[in-house]
Amino acid sequence: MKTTLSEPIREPIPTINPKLCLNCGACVAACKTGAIELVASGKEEIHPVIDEEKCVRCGYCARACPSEAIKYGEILPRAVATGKALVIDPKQCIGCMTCTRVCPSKGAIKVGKVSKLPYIDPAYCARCEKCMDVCPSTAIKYTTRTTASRKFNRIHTMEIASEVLEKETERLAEAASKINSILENIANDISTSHDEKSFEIDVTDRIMDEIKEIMAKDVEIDEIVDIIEKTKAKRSIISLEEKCIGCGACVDECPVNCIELEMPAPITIGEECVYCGKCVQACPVEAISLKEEFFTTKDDRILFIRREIKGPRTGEVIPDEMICQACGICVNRCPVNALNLKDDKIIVDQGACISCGECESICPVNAIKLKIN
Amino acid sequence: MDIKFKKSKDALNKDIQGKYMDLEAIEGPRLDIGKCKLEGEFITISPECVRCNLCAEECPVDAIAEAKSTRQARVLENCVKCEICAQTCPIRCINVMESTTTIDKDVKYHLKDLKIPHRILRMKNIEVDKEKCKACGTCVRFCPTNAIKVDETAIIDTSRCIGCGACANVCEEGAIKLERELGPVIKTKELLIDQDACVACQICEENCPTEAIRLEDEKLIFSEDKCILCELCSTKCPVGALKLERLSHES
Repeated sequence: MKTTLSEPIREPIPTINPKLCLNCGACVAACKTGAIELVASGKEEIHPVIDEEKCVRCGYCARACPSEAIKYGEILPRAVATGKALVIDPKQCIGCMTCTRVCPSKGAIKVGKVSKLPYIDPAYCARCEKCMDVCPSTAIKYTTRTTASRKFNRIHTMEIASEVLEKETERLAEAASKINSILENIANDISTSHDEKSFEIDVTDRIMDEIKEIMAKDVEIDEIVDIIEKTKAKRSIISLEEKCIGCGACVDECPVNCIELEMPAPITIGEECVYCGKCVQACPVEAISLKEEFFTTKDDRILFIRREIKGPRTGEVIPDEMICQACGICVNRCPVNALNLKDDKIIVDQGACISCGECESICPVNAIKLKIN
Repeated sequence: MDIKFKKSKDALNKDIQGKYMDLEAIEGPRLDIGKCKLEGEFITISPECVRCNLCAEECPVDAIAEAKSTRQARVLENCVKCEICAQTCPIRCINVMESTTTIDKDVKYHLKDLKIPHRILRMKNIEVDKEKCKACGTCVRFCPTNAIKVDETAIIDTSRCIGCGACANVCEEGAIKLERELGPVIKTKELLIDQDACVACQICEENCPTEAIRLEDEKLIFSEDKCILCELCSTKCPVGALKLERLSHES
């Protein structure tokens, strides 16, 4: 087998624009390796030519050119392996950023995200000393190349670490914002797969497992402090046909008039129901079943609870002024007109309130909490 | 929302090694990162997004990719964390998460969502064009308050409508006309300027997305009404002359 190695890839050499070039020879004088020569042949005028073999791609010629005829790439490759290099002393640096503006080699002076101060990458710096000349606090000095590299390395690793951490935190925040819909799915799933009248299920592990699924593999959940704050209680009502005697006691009690005595079913409960529980209490034969399902926490565990509501409850409606966007639909939907909008704030008439919880469940921004006594 | 995650330091070191690139590479990355603490803020949109695109409309720097009926709105990389979207979202599905990352024995991430005040949003008038409506029911799927029913055409219960405009936005026929009232942006933060500390580096001026801050005769000129209270100038200022402080909003 025969393997032929290709030529190593090299940075392109600086280019000289003949239209701008004054043929002054400044680049020839600036070149440290004698790679530029002024050439004149019979037909052509005298002009500089760069020898690709001799050129170390340092960019000195580009800086020396008085007419900006020499263009040099944005990246300066490693040109010198030993010797001296420039460093910025962070203790002396005042953060004026003048160095970053005068530096002709893009990428040589970086600005730290953590320290917010500039630092020099010795691999890109061509030691033109422009930054040194302009630094108002003489923070830029020469040191050995090894020291410069070590100093750069320390800051650079920290910068990478902060970048890695930031990306990771962003992904975690993205995952955390999906928790609410995970909870909703779990609630729906449990709700449909259980038909007991009331139960209490510890869902902590299930929630943990489902959150883990949307996270990176090497990250674990350390502690769940509070994730159920945005969940709402869900209520449902059904009339039990086999028990109902069609007496009509519930019809008059309903604050939204959504119960009708109708054949063939003895009663129908309409969609306008606010689940206040008055009908449940009025029914002489327990033919109406009103249920509530919600998440709660107990001793650091998250529970999903279903329970029966036996009748009207008492409690307190607490609107959160800060979150409320004053859309007013709770005012519209309140069956007993206990809510009012005044100067874009919700005023609750606690005396009139029947603690049905309709306002809490309809609020699009979770700004109302019903505290049941 | 308040949740903590953790990850081993070895896993972090592996990530750093993977990202490390140095032309001189005398010794490779220095993995002796000691104890440190980083703080940050992230804006995320939950999957509950109703595609109303009010956030994208209100974003002063166009950092939100508009939602389509098949895809929720998305925060782009040029987000400046002014939090206007979180104040505007009619269903509070845009979260402002404050993060604290600490490196000690392990790497620990603490994420907590901030309570952001809401701008006023109210429906003024909403109408369905009965000629245009094809009763496809797409609007019903996205209405956050179940205010729409579809019979022969869509019927909107105005007592339930909050004026988010999700229905009008997803309607392919443009059959829903909405008029709404949107309140002013609430000032939740304050930019504190220390003229004496300023070194006139112009970084704030260069980064400000709304030209609210500029240097004139080495002094900072700040126009409060242009400022959107984003984090750019204060996080980039090398000398801490600009500080963004959260006002307490206890009601």
